[in-house]
Amino acid sequence: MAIMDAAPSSDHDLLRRYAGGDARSFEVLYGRHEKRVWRYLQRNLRDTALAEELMQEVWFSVAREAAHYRPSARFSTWLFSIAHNRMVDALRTRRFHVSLEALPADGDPAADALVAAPQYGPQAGAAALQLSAALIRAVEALPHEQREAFLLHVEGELTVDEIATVTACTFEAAKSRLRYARSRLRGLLEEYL
Amino acid sequence: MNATPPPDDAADDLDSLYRKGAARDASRPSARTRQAILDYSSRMAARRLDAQQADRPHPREDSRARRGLARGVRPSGPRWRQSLVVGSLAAAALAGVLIAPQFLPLAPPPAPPAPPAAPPAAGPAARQAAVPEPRASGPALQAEAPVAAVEEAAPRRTAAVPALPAAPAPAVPVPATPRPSQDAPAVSASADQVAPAAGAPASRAAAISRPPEPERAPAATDSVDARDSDGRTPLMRAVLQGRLDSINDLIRRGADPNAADFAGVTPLQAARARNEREIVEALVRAGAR
Repeated sequence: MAIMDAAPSSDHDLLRRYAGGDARSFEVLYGRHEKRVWRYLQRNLRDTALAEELMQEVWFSVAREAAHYRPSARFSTWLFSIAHNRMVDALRTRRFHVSLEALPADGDPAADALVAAPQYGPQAGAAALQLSAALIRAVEALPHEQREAFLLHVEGELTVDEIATVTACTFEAAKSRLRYARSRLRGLLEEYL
Repeated sequence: MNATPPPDDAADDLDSLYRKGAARDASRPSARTRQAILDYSSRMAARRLDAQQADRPHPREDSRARRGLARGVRPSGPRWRQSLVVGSLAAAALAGVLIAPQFLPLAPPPAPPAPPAAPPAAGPAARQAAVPEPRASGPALQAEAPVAAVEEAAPRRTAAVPALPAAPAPAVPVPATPRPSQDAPAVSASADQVAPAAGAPASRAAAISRPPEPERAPAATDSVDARDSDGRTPLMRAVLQGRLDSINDLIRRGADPNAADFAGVTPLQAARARNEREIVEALVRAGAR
């Protein structure tokens, strides 16, 4: 069958080879990032059908734009910026059940009410019997901007600077969102930590 | 409301805790979504590959040449040696034409046979007479002479055409005559690509507009070539999944190796895009183009 290099290739190399017509390189690249992009979309949207749809759109974009990609930034930054933009577009155009305007801002008391809901609170984590499960639930309960900043950091491994670039906000705003997210998560998981 | 952000202590613990949980999380997109993504990427790769290969000699030619060598087909040798031998023969024929008339008046009526005195138009016959073992070198060289004009565009093509020496070499470099379709599919396809390139300017359009493909297996049954919603046949799906056994089986059952999907991608293009060498060879053997 196909002969693949023994040494793992960088994302840039794989994308370059794919742009040259090597479909197997795309498969490797997709395999590397599939779950992380999926979790980013699913936990932000909390809608599996929409996440599936956006997952296709994101990777279709990668396939289409591969020939034009220039490695001025990390591949994951590029990838998650596509995912972020697709998600924002979908939320705006499809009138998703939670509109961007309705999403709570940092420090909004409405966020407290949201994360205090029984289905997302520590009780749910206790029912899951695992701290990690409780944490994932808590992440899904975060306000949109905090959740996205946190997911871009832990799933996309983006730095604060890169998060600011992807989400089109200032460095300080991105840093603040990340801190609030962590603080809120620690509060939610207090009984486990 | 937006007071000073809280301190970011123990951030690493929280991040690593999340990542540990995520590593145990087996959720992923559905198989249908994954397949749609990979299919789309394969089609895009095939298109790019096609666009690139339209501007350069087809790599299939190399593999054919290698297969020819594996079957024991004699390589044509260095080009300088070909030129030397062809030049020597031409010089000998010319010398025969110029010198023989001088000896003819001196010779008695039962003059010894003077094959070199043959008229120039009988060049191939004279050369064959001069060379006792025509099949050893002469005809092969003659056969390569017209093809050499297109060898720039298709290197080593002649090595894969063992049937050529049997045909008489034309005196003028006319385009190669159409070869019988009973040749092996790989050879026929190669010859088909030579003809337009030699007779017309080596333009990209000429290379793309190939003559009709030699006969292939009779029309396949509906079940073998049944298409899905994207126009993909079972053979195309097997190529996308890299299943060589299924591909061979489908080919044996008469599947159309050139059935393109609705996006215009053929199984051979998809296999090339996936860098599946064995599958590419199997498809080429089946007449895929």
